[in-house]
Amino acid sequence: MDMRTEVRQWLEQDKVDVFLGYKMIEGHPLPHFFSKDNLEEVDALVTGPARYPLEKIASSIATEKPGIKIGLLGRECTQRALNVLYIWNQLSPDNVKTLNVNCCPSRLEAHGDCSYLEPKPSGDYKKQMGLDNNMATEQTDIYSQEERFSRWIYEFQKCIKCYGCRNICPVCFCKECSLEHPDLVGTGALPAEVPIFHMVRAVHMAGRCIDCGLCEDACPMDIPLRLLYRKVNEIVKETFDYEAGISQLQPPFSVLGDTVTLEPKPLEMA
Amino acid sequence: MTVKRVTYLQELLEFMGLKGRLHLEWISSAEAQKFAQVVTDFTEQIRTLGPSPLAVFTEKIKANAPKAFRRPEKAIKNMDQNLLFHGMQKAKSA
Repeated sequence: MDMRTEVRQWLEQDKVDVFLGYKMIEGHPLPHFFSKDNLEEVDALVTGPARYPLEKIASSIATEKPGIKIGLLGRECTQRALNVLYIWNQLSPDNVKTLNVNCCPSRLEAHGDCSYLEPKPSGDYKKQMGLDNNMATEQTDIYSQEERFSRWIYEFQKCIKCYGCRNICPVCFCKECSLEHPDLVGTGALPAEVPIFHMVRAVHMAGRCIDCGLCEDACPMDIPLRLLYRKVNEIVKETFDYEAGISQLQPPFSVLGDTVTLEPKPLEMA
Repeated sequence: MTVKRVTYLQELLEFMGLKGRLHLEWISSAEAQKFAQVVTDFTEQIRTLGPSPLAVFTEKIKANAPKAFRRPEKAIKNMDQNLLFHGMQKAKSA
């Protein structure tokens, strides 16, 4: 069935109260709120490589109007983000209905609609001084501890502290953010306090990051955030055998007691 | 909970190039000898690693930042004290 017909049916049959999708507005596909009152607008529903965290918009709508039934265009990363939001009680699975759209490419699909399919190649200077955005986490193993540090600092010191990575993040929902807490991160000055700013975010992403890549997409300074959070996910997977977004199990950091037995690491005498 | 968070942070710090600068150990108040031993060993390890590379970069960033972006001197002073590795407690009491 055609996407628009289905959405129209959902709205007409009151399966959902609102539907979150994209509408072409002055040449830009922007998130739009389709409702029964404006059914004719559904004809303008589009899908494409543009990505916005629709699930984040959904959770802020749900906070304002609990019980509202929301339909949204769902990619695979949307599904993972929804799972995390269900765990943290930001949305209720009963009130959310997703319309799955073509997304991540695989051999079974002719094409995928995702703005992250073609990461920008990093320039030579960036490769020499910092980190290549297209790197795999294991590839950083060749760098010594000193080199890793200087490369990460090179990347972090570019930060203009726009908070774009936090604002776009589908799984960031706290009302009070540590990144704005003057005791934790210095506020109101540039350059952003490195590396604390990014470290705090990385720590908070443990067991939450669903690797959608929106933060890196949004970053105006081209900081390899996805590489950092991929490592975060790897550590969580290796240490706690937990993967965020694939299930509705509580993450290890919000369960008291042990899911896996850990011992404090012994001192490594040099 | 502590061991989970610290293990995670140790791995993350290693990825970013600050390996071996964070250590966790359970010591009872009755284990004075163990306490002394752990502190001595850890101090020794930190001494081998040398001063934190963070301080060097903080200076560099400070010197290279465009004038308009530069923090007021007082803030820079506070920033140095607030570094995570020198302890959150210190930042709070200041």
